[in-house]
Amino acid sequence: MSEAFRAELRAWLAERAPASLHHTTTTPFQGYWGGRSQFRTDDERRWFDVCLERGWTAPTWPRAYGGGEMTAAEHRIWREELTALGMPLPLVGLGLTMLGPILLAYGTDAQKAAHVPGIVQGTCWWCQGYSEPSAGSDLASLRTRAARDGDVFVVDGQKIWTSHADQADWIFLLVRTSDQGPRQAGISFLLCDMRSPGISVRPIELISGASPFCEVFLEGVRVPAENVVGEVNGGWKVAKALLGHEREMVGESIAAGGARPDALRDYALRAHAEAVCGVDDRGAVADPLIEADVARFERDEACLRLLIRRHNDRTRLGHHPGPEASIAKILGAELNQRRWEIALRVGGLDTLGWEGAGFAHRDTVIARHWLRSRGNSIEGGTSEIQRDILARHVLNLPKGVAR
Amino acid sequence: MSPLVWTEEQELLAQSARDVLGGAAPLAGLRARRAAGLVQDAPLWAQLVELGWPAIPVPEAQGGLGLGLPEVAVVMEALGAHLAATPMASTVVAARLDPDFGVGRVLALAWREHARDRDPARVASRVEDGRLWGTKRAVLDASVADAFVVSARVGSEIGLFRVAASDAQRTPLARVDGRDAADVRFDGAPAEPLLGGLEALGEALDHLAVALAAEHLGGMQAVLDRTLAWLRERVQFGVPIGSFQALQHRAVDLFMQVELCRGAVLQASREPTHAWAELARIKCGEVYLQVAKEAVQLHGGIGMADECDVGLFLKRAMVAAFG
Repeated sequence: MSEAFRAELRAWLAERAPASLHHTTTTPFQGYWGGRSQFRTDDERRWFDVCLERGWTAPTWPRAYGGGEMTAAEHRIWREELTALGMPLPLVGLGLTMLGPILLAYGTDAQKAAHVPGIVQGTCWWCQGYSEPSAGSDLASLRTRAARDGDVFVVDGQKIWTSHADQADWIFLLVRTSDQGPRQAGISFLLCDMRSPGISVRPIELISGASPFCEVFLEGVRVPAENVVGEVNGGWKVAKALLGHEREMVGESIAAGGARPDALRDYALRAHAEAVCGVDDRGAVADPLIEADVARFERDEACLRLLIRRHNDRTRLGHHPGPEASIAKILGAELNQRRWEIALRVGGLDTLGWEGAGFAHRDTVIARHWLRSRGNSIEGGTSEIQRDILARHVLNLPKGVAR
Repeated sequence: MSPLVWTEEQELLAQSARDVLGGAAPLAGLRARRAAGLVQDAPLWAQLVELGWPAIPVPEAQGGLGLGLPEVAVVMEALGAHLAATPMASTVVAARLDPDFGVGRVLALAWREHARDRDPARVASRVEDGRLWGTKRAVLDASVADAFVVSARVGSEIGLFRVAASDAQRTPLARVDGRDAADVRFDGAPAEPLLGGLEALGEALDHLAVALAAEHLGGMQAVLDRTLAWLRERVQFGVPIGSFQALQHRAVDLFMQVELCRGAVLQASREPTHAWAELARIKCGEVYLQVAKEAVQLHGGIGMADECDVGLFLKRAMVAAFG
């Protein structure tokens, strides 16, 4: 059954997947973002169009909303075949990976009709308004307020670390709608048009340079009350369901090395180390300390890939998903940090450049990757918070005094 | 690629292994054997033979069950959780190199000649006119072996030979973990040539490594479980020490490493190439030692006491990591 699908898919890909996009991605996490983003080439547009026609921009979603209704097994084959060809996904973004599944599970029929087709067709680019300057790991302490005024909520506050807020069309927000009871019980999940009056956006520069992260300021922003997903004051449940999707996505993406810029598209640590240090008569990197680091890195990378494969296999076979997503998030971050740390040691003086004369572009990219990778253990839930979650909910260790 | 999930049959086998060993292999038994100088659990092995487990890797044509390394790994994991001393791992040796040897009899692999170097081609033992000379180090399950498979040079080639146990001189080694190992000397012992040379030896070593990696996986999970139980029940400063975040995070680090080992063992048992087998061997050796060392630290003073079981796992982990 599934092998028939694979054969059919391969034939379709042979005909429809533009050759110029073959081997342009090492992981199926890169691609066209939709909305105001641009297709980089005509072939990228063609690839998007042929997939959209089949419902394969959102392969597993219902046909009623333009999805492809693939089974989990078919979806896995789809990902495998794209990875084998090095093809990018036709469409990526938070609408597909995070908001869409939430709308399909918790949204009203009107909300689904209003927002899901735009995600599938790539006409609406979504961003996520969760973190605030004083609500990071302690997300439930968020203070951005939404006050009811007839048929609308009036939103005042500030969000931070919102990726692509400067380009996105809509934002899904966590807002405070009540101060009664536990903090979690006064939070609502709100959909908001980024063109609403009162929204301003400021991009954030990181230690590694420019970034997609932004600050979002909301002043008297009027949002229709029908844009609340789930119950008013019931947003925490929705937010938590969504975080599960995020954790898994971030973990898998980081484990795969993150999105690498063109200069490092085919970056392989061992090949790099061999090219710089030379190779000894046993085929190992000539510097034995570097060789030991590279070999250990490769073992741990292989183990993490197996863990993720086990997670996918378990899910596919209908077992309960285990704690693999949190593990992949923590270890994927550490692994990526080690990858660029070893790369820096391999390059020595040559990889300390920021930009300009005296440094190869590829080496400055490595320096910035090392800097950027420091954030891997912070973004999407810090490694410390992830460890708290595993300790409490998987290892059943007792709750601490302060938490 | 077969899925990295136990099949229903493997789940049942694991359950039955846990049931059998839960009753038959308490750690108190290990202490009793240690006191008596016994390196094998003979009654347990007799029970396993009765259950047919040694037949798991043997082809059906030779009277075996015709199952594979994944099933051996399932059983080894359960044995490792109990630090059970049986020659189960060695069953893969006969299954690979001498399938007609006979179910339930023990064929031990005598290959290593150096303390640190694991290169199977570093062989000085030699065969001339059907007789074998040489010394092999730390041969697993040597005391109960009915015969040995021995790697030796014939001219410039390396071949494999079967030597009856009665024709070998065994020097039992009292190692930290108290398990069955001996240096074995062959002094012109009659040697029966087996099919295959260095390549076949490498494959058998890979299978053996996967079986042992599975045993170590069971051991590391068992010592982690004991440590987690201790963190929940040990009270200091008026609260369970497991409520301290510093200790919780260390426990999580161990748990994550054990999960990595689980994937490595599943994959290596399903596709026992040299690369996967080495991954499982090295990773499981490192993590077993890491978990056992941390188990002692997290237990505090009692972890250093011989009466505490975590020390038994630590000693087994030393052999896993450095052997």
